[in-house]
Amino acid sequence: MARRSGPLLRRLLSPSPSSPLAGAIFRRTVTYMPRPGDGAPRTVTLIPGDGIGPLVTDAVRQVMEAMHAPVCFETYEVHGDMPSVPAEVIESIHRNKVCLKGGLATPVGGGVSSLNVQLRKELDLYASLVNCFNLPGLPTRHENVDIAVIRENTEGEYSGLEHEVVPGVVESLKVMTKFCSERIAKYAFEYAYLNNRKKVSAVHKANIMKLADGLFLESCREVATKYPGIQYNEIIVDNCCMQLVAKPEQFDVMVTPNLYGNLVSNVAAGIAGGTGVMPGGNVGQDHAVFEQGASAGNVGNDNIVQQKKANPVALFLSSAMMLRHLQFPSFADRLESAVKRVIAEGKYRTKDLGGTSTTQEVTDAVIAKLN
Amino acid sequence: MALRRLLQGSVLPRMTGRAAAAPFSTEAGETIRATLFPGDGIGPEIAESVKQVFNVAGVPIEWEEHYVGTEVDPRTESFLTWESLESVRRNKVGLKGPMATPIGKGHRSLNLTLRKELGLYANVRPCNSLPGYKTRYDDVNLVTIRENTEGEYSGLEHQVVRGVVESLKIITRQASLRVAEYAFHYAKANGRERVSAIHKANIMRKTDGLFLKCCREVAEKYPEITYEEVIIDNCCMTLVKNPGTFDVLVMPNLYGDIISDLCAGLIGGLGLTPSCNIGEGGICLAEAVHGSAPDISGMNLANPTALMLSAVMMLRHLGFDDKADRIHNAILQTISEGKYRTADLGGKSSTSDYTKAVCDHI
Repeated sequence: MARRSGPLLRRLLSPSPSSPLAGAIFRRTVTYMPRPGDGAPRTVTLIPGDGIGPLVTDAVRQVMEAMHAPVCFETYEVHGDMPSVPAEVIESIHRNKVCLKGGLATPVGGGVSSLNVQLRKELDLYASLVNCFNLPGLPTRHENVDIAVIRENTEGEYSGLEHEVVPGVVESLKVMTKFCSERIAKYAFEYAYLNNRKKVSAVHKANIMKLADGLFLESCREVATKYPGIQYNEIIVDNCCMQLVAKPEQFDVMVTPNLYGNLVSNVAAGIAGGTGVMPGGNVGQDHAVFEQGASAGNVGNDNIVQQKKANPVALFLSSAMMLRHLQFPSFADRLESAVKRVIAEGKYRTKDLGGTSTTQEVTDAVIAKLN
Repeated sequence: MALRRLLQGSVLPRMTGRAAAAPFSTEAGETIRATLFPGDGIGPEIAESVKQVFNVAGVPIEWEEHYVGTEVDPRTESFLTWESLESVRRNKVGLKGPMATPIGKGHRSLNLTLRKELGLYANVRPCNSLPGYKTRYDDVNLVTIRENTEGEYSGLEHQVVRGVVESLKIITRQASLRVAEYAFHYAKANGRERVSAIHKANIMRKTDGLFLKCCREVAEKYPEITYEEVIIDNCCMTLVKNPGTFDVLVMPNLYGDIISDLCAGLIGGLGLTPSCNIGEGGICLAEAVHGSAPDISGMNLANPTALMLSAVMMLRHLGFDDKADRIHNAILQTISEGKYRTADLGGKSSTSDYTKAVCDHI
């Protein structure tokens, strides 16, 4: 720290005109007062995953080290084609309460059920949050996007209850319960309240699935009455997708059942810059798992893995969310502002954002911007 | 370049389902009877526009008009009469305007009645960016084909115990094969190169797995068409980032509903999107998918483009490709010139002015 204070002091005393943000950074307006002992290092379970997972989780590890964040990782190898998540991993997450993971690829149509879904059900991570917002400096077709999609994570269409009635006829059960609908509605409104959000929209298809989505809507309406300061409205899922593409600024917080949440979060992530940049996490009563925002099962293709050009931004922003969850807010702030500045500058961007950088180049750029 | 290609009319479908349809006679002088449901609200006005345009283009179609009744017909359990449905079955081709859903019990919804009685199994929606009408996306040129009879919309729900509801999603081999066959046939007949099956088979392994298996079987019969499978969340993301990468999309019911509306949003909304339902025995019922807009009905302000484009789809199904091309080009030219546009496209023209402009361009 002493070694750095020389140039730091020099920069403070004579702000260079070439870096207009220089003045803004060193003017601290927020300070977090810790309790004694808050700086004790926390252990976090780390699951690199498949495909681009190991690349991007390694990037996060590098950044954490560079920041000297009081976080240490317990790494476990889990792959999408394992029959189930190993017991030691679950135990580790029970112990640490927080996990950071890359995506787990699920073989399509195979006999294995998705491990992403299994993990969420096992730990009862019933709320999935994807925060989609325009990053300054990243050109997209839509402006003023700032949407948080809160998706029920445990039931609905992903119950996994399918069977073949007779050869050639297959049934799949979509199960909706009042219990789960109520708690996700409560989480959505509480999130809106705690984050100063003005509107919650419930996404449904109750004109066709009257009982199932009707139950979901009923729960949302009940919870809405307890938050009179927050606007509540309901929108049918197909109209919702159309509106997202046409006028995304009308949406603020969206609460959805499982499948629609998947679609809506991907559409919202896409309009705001892509799933490579949107942070997200899954949270339950006792545990939290942070991962790339939308589309956690998308682990990229072999090309990206070989050329090491995966986009680490989503996982950087998700790990910033994780740092706040662990009550290390100023580390989170530093990480986030470093990432935003790298994106705004535009020099180091991976292919999905229109650039040609590798994961390592972006990571190095972020580390350079940490102050 | 995109404009030229569009004006060459290679975008809207030619001969939709012709092989599956009863052969239509296209000899000169023979008129074809088609059923017309003008519908409610702005329906009658825009149906008039279509009739006008067809007259000017010299299309040999005789319309049989049917209206939604004021009483429930016991033979159909809905407000649509048995005669209307018989008319479509007989003529094999029809055009439907927007119908307001009557509220209440004791009858089936109008769309459900049409679907079940006529066996409409595939909903085809070509979504193409209109040259001259600027949206955020310029290169949309895709067709969504949605299975329309089963899937998540089977309507089979029940309450297990208080607070727990189950809803059944049904996928059958027969329906999946049928819609996959139609999709590939359509792609081949319209010069499309790629068919993408949209699914979530990594989670819903048996149901969407069966759908995919059927698509693969049909794909083998069309080796010249590239076949790929895309998971729905990737599909959604790619559609909003690069819609130009998709060609023909075939999907089960729920995904189809959402994706086809999403694609309609990409090109400018339901007021500009044509749609066509294919039924058993070669029935083709083209429809405008927007609402009946009761607030502007009767005021000569409605935009007839969706119904006109759907009527063009109907013409291609009948084999009147040259007339379809001329009408289609006239519509595209009118919109791209920008002089006569209705209020929803940002212009100030009335329905009749717009229709006249289209007729002048033919």
